[in-house]
Amino acid sequence: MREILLICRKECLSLLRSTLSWCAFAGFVAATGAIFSTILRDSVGTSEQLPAILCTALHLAVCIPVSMFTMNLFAGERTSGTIETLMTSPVNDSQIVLGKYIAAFIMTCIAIAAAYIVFPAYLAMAAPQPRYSGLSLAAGIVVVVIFAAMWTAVGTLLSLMSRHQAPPAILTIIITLTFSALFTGNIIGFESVLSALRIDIADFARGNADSRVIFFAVSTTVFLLFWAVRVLESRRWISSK
Amino acid sequence: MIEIRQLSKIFSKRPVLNEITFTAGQGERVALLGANGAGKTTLLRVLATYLPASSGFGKIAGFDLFSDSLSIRAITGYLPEGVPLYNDMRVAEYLKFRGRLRNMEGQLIRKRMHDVIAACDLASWRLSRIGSLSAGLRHRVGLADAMLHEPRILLLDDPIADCDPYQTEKITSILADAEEGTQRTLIFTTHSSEIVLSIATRIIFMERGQIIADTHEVASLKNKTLATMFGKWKKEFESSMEKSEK
Repeated sequence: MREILLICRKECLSLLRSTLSWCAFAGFVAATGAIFSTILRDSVGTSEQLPAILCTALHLAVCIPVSMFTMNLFAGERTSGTIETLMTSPVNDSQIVLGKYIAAFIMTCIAIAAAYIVFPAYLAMAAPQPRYSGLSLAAGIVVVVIFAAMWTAVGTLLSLMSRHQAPPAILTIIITLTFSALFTGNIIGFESVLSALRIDIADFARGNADSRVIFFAVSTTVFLLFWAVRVLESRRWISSK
Repeated sequence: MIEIRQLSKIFSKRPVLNEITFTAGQGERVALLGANGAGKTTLLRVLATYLPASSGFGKIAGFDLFSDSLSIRAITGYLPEGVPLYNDMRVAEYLKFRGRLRNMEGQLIRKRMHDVIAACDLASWRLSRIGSLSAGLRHRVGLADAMLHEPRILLLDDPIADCDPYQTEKITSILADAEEGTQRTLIFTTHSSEIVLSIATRIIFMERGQIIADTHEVASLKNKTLATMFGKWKKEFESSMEKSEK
């Protein structure tokens, strides 16, 4: 556990020192605001639906911080060669993957928290003041965080599979956006696909949590991380560098 | 201390290490020499447990190379080729991180950091970002990291690559001082005769993934260049290969 926390702390500090991370934070908050206002403009509803709309916006925009925070996890280490130093330290491969994954996930959660903090500021400017339940918003955020954990695992795995940083970032954005839209039923013609796993964030925001969705996200995260550890192990066998 | 038998490493059906066999005792300082692509770096990577061998047998300080890799890493200091370091970290911060990663206690880390920073003459750069350091200083930081936990085995992959003459001399003297009076086993690769003659007690020449010469008579090489010796051994190796093929 100590090794995981050490690697996680080091990664968090590295990410906080990077200009790209701050751009990711800013981009995420801006994208959330843009998606939120677009949905709001096009929909007719009550202010009780605001938490669900915000969570949908967060869910779609979360691909930005996830891709930015995960692209450097392994691809950057391989480019600079530091992966060799890390992998010859007395830590095992699963500790390395978990340490890095947790760091990227923590940073994504910080980004979500930043957008969450900005939300009341958006609404403060509205007149008349809308009413919404903070508890509903929190419930919706929990779903966003659970899915962010899954997308972070996707990004971690893709970062392991590439030597360069751009391809995993682009692929993470594509996969995350496609599946987010698919799960939320935003792709026309795909409404019935994955219908069993369709996320109705409004439901979550009302407190009607569908445990199948949570189980799906958590088990997929575990599976992807397990796969990532195996990929890291296999790198020792197939790579001369 | 190090016992390797019939060790092979194959990349894409091409043997990079071909049934290497050698032992190195406590306190021995072995220089691994050979042309580029001879397999020196791969051998060090296998010994550092970064790469697993494809076949063979190996024990380091009694630990099996295949099944006890974590125990081997704990007693080994390794400086990889090109000295990869985290450029965004400061020197002291990096050494502290590496010490903690090796399960060292806080007080011991502080003491050892003080020792290696003094030994590698890095006091003026303690708080400098690694990314801003010159090649020679980076090598010294890498060396300080490799020696931080007082490893029983030190593996250095070309510790003076890309260094100017001043830094080469500096690193050679740091290594000579660090190794004097210790019972540590040192294995290093280099293309410089200067560091070999100053530090090594044994020379192993490699060619095409095989050991072609192994000698303890380092002093007798003083008047000959490494290229001359390597050429002679390579010729002998090639003629023996031809004979065995016939």
